[in-house]
Amino acid sequence: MKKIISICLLAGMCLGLLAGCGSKGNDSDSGSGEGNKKMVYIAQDMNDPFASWLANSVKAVGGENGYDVSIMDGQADGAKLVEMLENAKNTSPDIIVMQPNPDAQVLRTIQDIQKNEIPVIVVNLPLPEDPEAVPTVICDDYTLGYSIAQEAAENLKENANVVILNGIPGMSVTSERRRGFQEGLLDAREDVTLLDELDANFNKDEAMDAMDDWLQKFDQIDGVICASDGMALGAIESYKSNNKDFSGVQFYGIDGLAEGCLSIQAGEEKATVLQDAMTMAEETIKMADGIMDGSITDCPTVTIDAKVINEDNIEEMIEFHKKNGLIE
Amino acid sequence: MNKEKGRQDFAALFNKWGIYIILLLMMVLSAIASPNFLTVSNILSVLRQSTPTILLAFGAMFLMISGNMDLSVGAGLAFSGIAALEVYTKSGNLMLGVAFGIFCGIVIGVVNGVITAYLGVPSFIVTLAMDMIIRGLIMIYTNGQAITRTDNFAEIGQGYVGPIPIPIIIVAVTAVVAWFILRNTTMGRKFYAIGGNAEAAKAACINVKRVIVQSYIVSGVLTAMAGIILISRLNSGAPNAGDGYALDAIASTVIGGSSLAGGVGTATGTLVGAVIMGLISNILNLVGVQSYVQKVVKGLIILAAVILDVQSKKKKS
Repeated sequence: MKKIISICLLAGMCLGLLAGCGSKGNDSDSGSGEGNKKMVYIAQDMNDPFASWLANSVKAVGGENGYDVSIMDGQADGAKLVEMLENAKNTSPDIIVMQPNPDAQVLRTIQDIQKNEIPVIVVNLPLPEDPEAVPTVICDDYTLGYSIAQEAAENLKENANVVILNGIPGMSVTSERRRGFQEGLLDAREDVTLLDELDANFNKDEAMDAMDDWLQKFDQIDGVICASDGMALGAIESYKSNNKDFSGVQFYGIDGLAEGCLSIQAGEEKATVLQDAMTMAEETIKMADGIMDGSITDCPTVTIDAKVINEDNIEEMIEFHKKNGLIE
Repeated sequence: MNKEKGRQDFAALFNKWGIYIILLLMMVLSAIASPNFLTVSNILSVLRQSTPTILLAFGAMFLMISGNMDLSVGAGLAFSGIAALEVYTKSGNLMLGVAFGIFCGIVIGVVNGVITAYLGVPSFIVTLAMDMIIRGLIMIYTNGQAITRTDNFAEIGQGYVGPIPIPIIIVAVTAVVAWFILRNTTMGRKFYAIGGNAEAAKAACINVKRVIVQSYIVSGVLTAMAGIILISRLNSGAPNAGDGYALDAIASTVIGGSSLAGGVGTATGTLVGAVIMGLISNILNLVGVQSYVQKVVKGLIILAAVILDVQSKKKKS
C-alpha cells in the first residue's frame, strides 16, 4: 500500500513539474522569445490582489516590449524578500524590478546586486532606507489616503459620523493611508465625528465582522472610510447580511480594483482611488529600457497620480478593467 | 474537613461545567460592560460571525480526539468555497455547486488522511505542506484576484429562515450530528479509542489507519461547509479567505476541553469554545477597545481559560 501511494505521489510530482514546464512555454507565447532581455520581478505578496495585478501587468507590458519576465513572490515577509533578491541575482538577469516590503531593509542587498552590474528598479513604494538610492516608480500611500479622504470630505453631510477600517498595523502602507484620512477628512472637516476605528488587516471577512459589531453599537453611521476596497466591500456585505438599509451610508475604499469598481457601478461603494498598476507597469518598462540603453544613468523617481473613481468616471474604469482582463 | 470537601465539590463542579461557567461569566460581564451586548440581534450576529470557526472547530475536534490535527483547513476552506461558487455560477445549480464544494473537501481530507495514516508522516507536516499546495492552486486559478461573479450565492451565508440566519441553522444541525456521532456511533467510539491509545485500539481489532482517514474525511466535509458559508457571506471568491483560521479552530477546540494529546473532547465543549472565541472580539469591539489592546486581551483570555481548564482536570486526576 505504502509503495502504491508513494508511486502515486511521485507521479503527481512529475506531472506537476511537467505542468510547470508547460506553463513556462505559455509565457514565451506572450511576447517573449530568444534574444529577449531577462527581467526578474519580485512582488511583495502575490496573495495581495493589488500586488498580483501589478506583477501580472509588468509581465504583460514587459512581454510586449521584449522582456522575458519571471515573477518571484516575497510572501509579505521581509526575510523572504532578501532571499528572493539573492536568488534573482543568482539567475543573472539583465534587470531586477522589486516591489519593496516597507518592513525590510534591503538597500545593502541591492547595492551588492548593483556591484554585479545588474540594475534594480523599485516600484509602487519607495525604498524605506533611502528613497533616492535607486530608480523608482511610485504611487505613494499618503496621496491615496488623502485623495479618498478629500472625496469623502466633499460628499459627507454636515456633522457626519464616520468609522475607519485600517490595514495591517505596523506597516507603512497602513500608517500612511491613515495619515491621509486624518489630514484629508478629520482635520479638514471638524464637524465630522470619528466614532471608532479598527484594524481589519485588509481582509474582507475581518471588515465584515467589525462592521457587524459597529451596527450593534452605533445608531447612526454616515461614512465608512476603508484603507482598501476589500474592506469597504466587507462593510457593505455586513449591512446586507444584517438586513440594514445602507442607502444613506457612504463607503470609501482604496486601490480601484475591479471588485470595487463593480460595486461603485452598482451604486453601493461611493468612491475609491486607483493605484493604476498598468500605468505603473508601463512606466517601469520605460525606465528599464532607459537604463538598458544608457539614457538613464541616475536614480529618477516617477510618481503616478492617484485617480479618484466615483460615479462620474466609473464606466470608463469598468472599460479599463475589461481591457486588462480583470472583468469578464 | 468541611473546607476540603467544599474544595473538592468546587473542583468537580468546575471540571464538569468549567467552560460553561466561563461562558456565563463572560456573558454577564459583557452585558454589564455594554448595553448593546445582550440583544437578540447582537447574539445572532456573534453566532453568524462565528459560523466558519465553529464548523472548523468541530472538524479539529474529530481530528484531535483521534490524535491528529489539520493545519490546511484555512486553505481547504477557500478552495472548497471557491470551487462551489465557480460550479454554481457556471451551472446555475446551487445544489450542484454545494455538492462539488463538499466533494473537494472530501478529496482534500482523503489525501491528508491517507498520507498521514498509510505513509506514517506526522499530520502536522502533511497538512502544513497541503496548506501551501492548496493555497498555491487557488492563486493559480484566481490569479490572485477575487472572483466577482456570484449571482445568488450570497443567499446561503446572508439569508434567513424566519428571523434566524441560515448559517446558524446549519451550525445547529451540525452540532447535533457531531454530538450524536461522538456519543452514539461506533465511529465516534473508534475516534476516542485510537486517540486515547492507538496500540490498545489495534489490539481491539480496530483498523486504526482507516479510522484516521475517516476522521480527515469528516473534517474535510466540515471545512468545505465552512468554506461555502464564508465565501457566500463575503459574496466574492476571495483567494485569501480563511487565512489564519486553522489556529483559531484549534484554539477553540482546546478551550472547549479537547486534549492535544488525543482521546478527549466533546461537541458541546467545542461549540462553547468557538462561541467564546467569537464573543471575545465582539465585546471588545462593542466597548471600543483599541485593536492593539484587543490582541493582548484576546491572548490573555484564551490563556486564562485553558489554564483554568487544565488545572481543574489536574485536581480531578
